[in-house]
Amino acid sequence: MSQSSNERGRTERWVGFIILLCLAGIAAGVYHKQFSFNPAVLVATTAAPEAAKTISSPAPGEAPPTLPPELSAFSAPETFTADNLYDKVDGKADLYLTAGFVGLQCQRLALKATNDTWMEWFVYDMGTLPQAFSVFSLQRRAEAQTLDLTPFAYQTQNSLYFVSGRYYVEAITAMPTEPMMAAMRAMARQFVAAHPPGAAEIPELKLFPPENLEAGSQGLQIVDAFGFDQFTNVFTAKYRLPNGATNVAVLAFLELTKTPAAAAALRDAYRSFLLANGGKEIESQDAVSIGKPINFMDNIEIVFVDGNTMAGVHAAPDAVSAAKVTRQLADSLQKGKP
Amino acid sequence: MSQSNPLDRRDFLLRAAKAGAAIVAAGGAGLWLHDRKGPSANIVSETVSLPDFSPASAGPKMSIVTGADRVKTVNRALAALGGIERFIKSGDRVVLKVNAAFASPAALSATSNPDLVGEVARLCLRAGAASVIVTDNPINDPPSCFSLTGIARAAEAAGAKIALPTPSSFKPTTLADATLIKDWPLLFEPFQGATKLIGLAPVKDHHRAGASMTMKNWYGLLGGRRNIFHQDINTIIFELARLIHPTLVILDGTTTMMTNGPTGGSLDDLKATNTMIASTDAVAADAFGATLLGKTAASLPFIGKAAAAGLGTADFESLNPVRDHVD
Repeated sequence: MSQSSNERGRTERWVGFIILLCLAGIAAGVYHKQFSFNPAVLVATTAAPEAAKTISSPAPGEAPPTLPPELSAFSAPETFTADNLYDKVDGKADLYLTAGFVGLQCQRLALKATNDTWMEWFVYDMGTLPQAFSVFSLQRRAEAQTLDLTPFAYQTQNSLYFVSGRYYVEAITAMPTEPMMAAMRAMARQFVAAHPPGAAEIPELKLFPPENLEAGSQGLQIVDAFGFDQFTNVFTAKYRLPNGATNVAVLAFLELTKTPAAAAALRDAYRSFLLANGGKEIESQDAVSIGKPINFMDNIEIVFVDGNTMAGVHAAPDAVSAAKVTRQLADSLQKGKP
Repeated sequence: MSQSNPLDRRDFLLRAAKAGAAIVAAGGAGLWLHDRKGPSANIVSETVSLPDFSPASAGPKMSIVTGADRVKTVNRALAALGGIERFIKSGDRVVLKVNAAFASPAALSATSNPDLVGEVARLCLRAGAASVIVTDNPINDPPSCFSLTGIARAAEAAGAKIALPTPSSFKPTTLADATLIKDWPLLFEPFQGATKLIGLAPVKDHHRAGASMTMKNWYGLLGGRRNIFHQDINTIIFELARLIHPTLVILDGTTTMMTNGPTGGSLDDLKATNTMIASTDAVAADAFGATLLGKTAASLPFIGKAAAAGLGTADFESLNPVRDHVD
């Protein structure tokens, strides 16, 4: 190849390189601009969600809410979708949206006898039983009384909460007279009768060992359990272990994955997350062979794998109780295998 | 492969001219298509901003009064700061920004307490205020919110007026060097002619922000599809704290919503914490309010951001708050 041809090739390479550099600069500029976009422009250039619908009759396909005779409508029913749930529950909307929210119907209802004693009735369609159970469990009140209605139901001094199939239902009054509370329970029973829950069991909950299990403590975190964004559908249960005159609380957890390899990868990722954020592996004579304890912010974490199940304990106050619950959970997982 | 002919001067000039023409054509087309203004936010009126309402006079900056009776505790808290007369002068036109976000009864503590709203309105009028306007842009239907919370009845009984938001109540505002508040609709109409601004907020847990107190209360001055800001809740609260400079904030920790905020629902979500805070430093008020929720100021990023920007202090003890108790 001649000298001029070489020079030309070199020049072309440089020109090509400069052009690519310019294109990279333009791409970087466009990328940077995404982070300084004016939210007002974003809103102005995208379609607004529909305003909350105030409807005079229930949505097509839904059974009409059956009012007990002692209640009457105090306001028109309202429906909300994922686009405008915020208009009803503000900052709590994310809790429902991240759990698979489909729609909300709500209405204020008054006691006929007084007409100024009223409650609000909320029916959240969460799509599936586990998703309804998730929002139920995440909001469960500590001092709740179990309600003999469905497997997941409780009441407080002024409100009741339950899951019936795909629905999560709340009934809230600020005037908790006995007639009003009785009317709320009657309405709840009629709702369950009108919307049979079907198979009301969540199989994962049966994998937790019953010994020392705190009643009503089971839960489901669909996203970001324990601040770890790779956890999805993490079931939890709280254990109370006797410790002298008091007891200590330990949270057990598990997530079912598709394959044993996926469970192992999730375990490893969570351990890496803990260690990267200041956690330290500890030696303990109480340690269980299936998972080395990690001291994370002065609490103990253990994570292990059994088949396609990733499981462990979270934020245990000491290594002894962490190991005890881990052993119980591991045994229970073995027994739960088909 | 055949050997290419060496480039002669004529070919070079021809190729250079073609390349130049292509560049000019592409650049010209780009210039022709370029939208210098970019997409519009459909701003139809000039942007507005709120004046600085913060008090000029020196004096104690914070008081913390314990007790279960809101009327008594707010009176004592204001007296500890030098009395309402330190803040409200004859002829003042006062705006009370309450939290009327939800159409829920006062007993559920999701909104400002009507007894407190009524008493503060009464105190302002007694100090010589020419008018007191109570306002908010609620999440739920505004008339229902002001009615079912009892705020409308209490405010009107005290002689205040309720300003319900309508589409014409909002004007666009822009905060200098802001990430989020740019050309954004602000509840402006109640502020026309206003000379003083008092924020009245309850202490609540908040699912996204961690807490809803005096700085979060300004969120109710935003219009439009403000829910998009929930993805960056700490920044919007911080920017609101930069935007709004109140005369005074009153943080009602008589009953604190400890869990399941901001809506709550069950009386089990509430705890009697029996504390009223009055302050000219909203950051300090919120930092103290965090303790009522069993949290620390450090655990609430919006407090840290506001303090770092010099909007107030998260170290509320450094203000030597006046402490008192009323039975």
